[in-house]
Amino acid sequence: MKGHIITSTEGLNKAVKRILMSFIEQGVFDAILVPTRAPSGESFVYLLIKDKKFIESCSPLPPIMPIQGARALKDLTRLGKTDLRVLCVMRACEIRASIELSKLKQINLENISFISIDCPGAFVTRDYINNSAELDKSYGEILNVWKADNLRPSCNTCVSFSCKDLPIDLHIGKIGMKENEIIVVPLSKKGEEFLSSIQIECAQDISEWQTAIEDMQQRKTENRNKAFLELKNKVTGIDNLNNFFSNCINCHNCMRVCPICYCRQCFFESTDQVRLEAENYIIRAENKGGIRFPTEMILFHLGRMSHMALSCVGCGACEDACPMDIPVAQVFKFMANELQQMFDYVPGEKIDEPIPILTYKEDELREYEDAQGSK
Amino acid sequence: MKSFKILKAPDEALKEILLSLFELNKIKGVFALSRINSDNYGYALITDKTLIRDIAPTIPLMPANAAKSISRLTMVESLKSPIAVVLRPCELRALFELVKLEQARLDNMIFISFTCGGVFPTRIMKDGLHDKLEKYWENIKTGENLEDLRESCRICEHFVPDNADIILNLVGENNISHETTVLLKSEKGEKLLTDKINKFVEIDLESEKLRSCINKRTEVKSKIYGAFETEKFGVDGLTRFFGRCINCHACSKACPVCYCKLCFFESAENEYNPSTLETMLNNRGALRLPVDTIFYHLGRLIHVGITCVGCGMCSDACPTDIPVSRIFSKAGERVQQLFEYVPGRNIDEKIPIATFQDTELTEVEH
Repeated sequence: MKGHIITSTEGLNKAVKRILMSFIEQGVFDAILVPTRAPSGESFVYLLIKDKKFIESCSPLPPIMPIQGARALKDLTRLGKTDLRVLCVMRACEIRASIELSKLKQINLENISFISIDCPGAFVTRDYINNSAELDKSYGEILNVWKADNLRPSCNTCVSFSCKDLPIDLHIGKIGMKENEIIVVPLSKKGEEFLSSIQIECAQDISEWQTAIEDMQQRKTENRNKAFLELKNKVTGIDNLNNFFSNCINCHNCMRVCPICYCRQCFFESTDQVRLEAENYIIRAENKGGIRFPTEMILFHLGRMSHMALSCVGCGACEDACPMDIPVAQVFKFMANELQQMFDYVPGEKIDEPIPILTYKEDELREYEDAQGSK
Repeated sequence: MKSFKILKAPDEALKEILLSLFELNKIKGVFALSRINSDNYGYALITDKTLIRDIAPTIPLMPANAAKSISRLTMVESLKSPIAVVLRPCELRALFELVKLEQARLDNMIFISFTCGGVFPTRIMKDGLHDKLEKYWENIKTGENLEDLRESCRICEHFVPDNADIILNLVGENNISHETTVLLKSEKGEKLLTDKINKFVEIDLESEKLRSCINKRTEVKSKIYGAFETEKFGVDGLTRFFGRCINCHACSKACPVCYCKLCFFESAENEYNPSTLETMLNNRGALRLPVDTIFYHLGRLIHVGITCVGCGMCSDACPTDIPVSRIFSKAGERVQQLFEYVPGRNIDEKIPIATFQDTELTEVEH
C-alpha cells in the first residue's frame, strides 16, 4: 500500500478541507457530510454540504462527537438511496456503526463513500461545552503527542481508532507523522481513482505510519483489557448492576443517541410495557414490600444490551449523553466484546457479513444451553 | 385551616403520619421519593410499612417528575385501595394536567405536599448532595434563594401547593430542624387525622414570610426573563440557543406533560425521502443532519406550553446543558396569561386547547 504525504503548516483540519474542496470543485462528489461548528460556537453538528463556500467553515475532526455520524447518515438514507454522490467524513466508530445500520436496513450505502481520519478520541461533550477555548488548544496538542488523560474513557480503550479492516475507500493518517504532515491513503481501487481525479497520486511509503498504528493498537488493547478487568467485579450480579445503574433517571437517552438502537418505538416505551393495570404494580410492590418507579429500570438496560450488543461499536455516545454521567458505555462495551468474540464477529468490518442474529441456527451454541451455566 | 405541630424534622414527621395512617388502616401504600442507597434517591411505591423508614420526600432532589410515574400507575384503571402520594407542588400540578389529558386518575389517592424550597440539579447526586444540605435547610428558614438550585426552582412562584390534602409547611419555618407544622388543607385530610390528633390550631398559609419569599422569586424571574430576550430571537436566535442540541429528545422524555407515546418527530410521518432532502440541500447549499432540530423544539413548545408547570425537568435532563426550561416556562407563562390559565390549579378547569372556539382570539389573527 502506498500513500501521499501532504506537508502543511496549517494543521490537519485545514489540510483535509483542501482535499474536500477539490472533491467538490472537480465534481468527484456532489456533497460532503462533515462535522461543522454549531452557530453558537461551543459544539459541532453534521452538515451535508453542497455549496463549496460552506467547506471553509467545516471541522473534519472535531474535538467532540456530540452526534454519532451514523445517525446523521441514517436521517439522509433511511427511506432509500440518495441520488447524490456523498462523501462522509467520519471517525472509525461512526463508519462502523453506519455499516451495521446498513445491514439492519436503516442506511442505504449506495452512492455513499467514506473518508476516515486517525482518531485520538474525543472529549466529553459537556466538558467541551463548558470550556471550549481551553479544550480546543488542548486537542491541537493531542494531535501531535497522541496522548491525553482527559478524553472520554471509551476513547481511551478504543482499539479501532484508525482504518484497520474498515471496508471503505479513503483514509487520512496522522499518528506517527511529523507535526506538519498528514498522509492520504487510498484503501480501495475506487479510493485511488477518487484521489487521482483531484491530482493526488499515491507513491510514498506508509510503513512508518503503519508501525505507529500498530504500537498504538497494542497500547490501547492493554488499556482496554485492564479496564475490563476492573469493571468485571463492579457489574457482575444483579446487586452490582442495581448499584451501577442506581441513579438512572429513565430518560432513555442512551437508547436515543445509540446509533445501533434504531427501533422507532422502543419496547420499553410501547403499549405492552406502559399500559398495565394499577393492580399489577400494587401486587409487585406487595411481593417485595415496595418497588421503585419508574419500574423495569435494569430490565431496560439489559433488554437494550441484548438487542444491540452484537453490533455495538463502543463509540461511547450513550455515556456522553447520559445526564447522570453513568458510565453506560463501559459496561456495554465490556459485554459486547465478550459476545462478539463468541460469534467471531467484528461490527462494521465487512459490509456483506450478516449480523449473527440473522444467521443463528437452533443447533448452534449447545454449550450455553444450561441456564445455570454449569459445564 | 386546621394545623398541628409534630416535634420532628419534616421527613420524620411525615413518617410518623404515614405510619399512623397505615395502622389506622386508612392507607394500603405510600408513593414517595425514597433513599435507594447511600447516595441515590428514586421514587418508590411502598406497601410494607417497615420500609417507610427509607422515604425521603423533602430531600432537595427531583430525579423525575413523579407525575409521570403516577400516570404509569393509574393510566389503565383507578387504584382500588387508598395510597398516600407525597409530591412536590409542581409534580402535583403536572399530575392534575395529566388527569385532564386522561393520562392518570386521582381516585383513592391522598395527596401530601409541602411548601417547596426547590431542588438541586439531579446531577448533584454524584458529586455529593450531603455537603449542601445544611445550607439548604438554613436558607429555607428565611426563604433565601440559593444560587445553585435549579433555575426553574429559583424563579418558581407556585411553591405553595394548591390541591394537597395534607401540607407540611417548610418555607419560612425557623424550627424546621426539630418541629414541623402540618396543615389539613382538604376535608379528606381533616377526616384522616381528626381521630388521631386532639389539639388543632387554626392558621392561614398566606403568611407575610411566604409572600416575601414569592416576591423574591418573582424578582429573580424578572431578572432572568428580562435578560433572556426571546422577543428579539427570530430564527437566528433559536438556532444559536438550540445550536448544541444533539436531538436526543431527553427534554420530551423527561417532561411530565409531554405524554405522547410516540412523538410526531420520532414517527414515520416525519421521515424524509432522500429526494426531499436533496431539494432542501439545493435551496440552502448545506443542510444540518439530523434535520428539524428547531422545528422539534417549537412543535413541543406549542404542544406543552399551555400545560407547562415549569418543573425544570427538561433542563435537568439535557446532556448538553441547554437551559430548555427557561424558554419553555417564559413562553408557557405568556400563553397561560393569554388564556388566564394556571396549569394544575383546578382539576375542573379545562385546558384551553380543549375549549377553544374559532370565534376566539381574533385580535391575534394578524
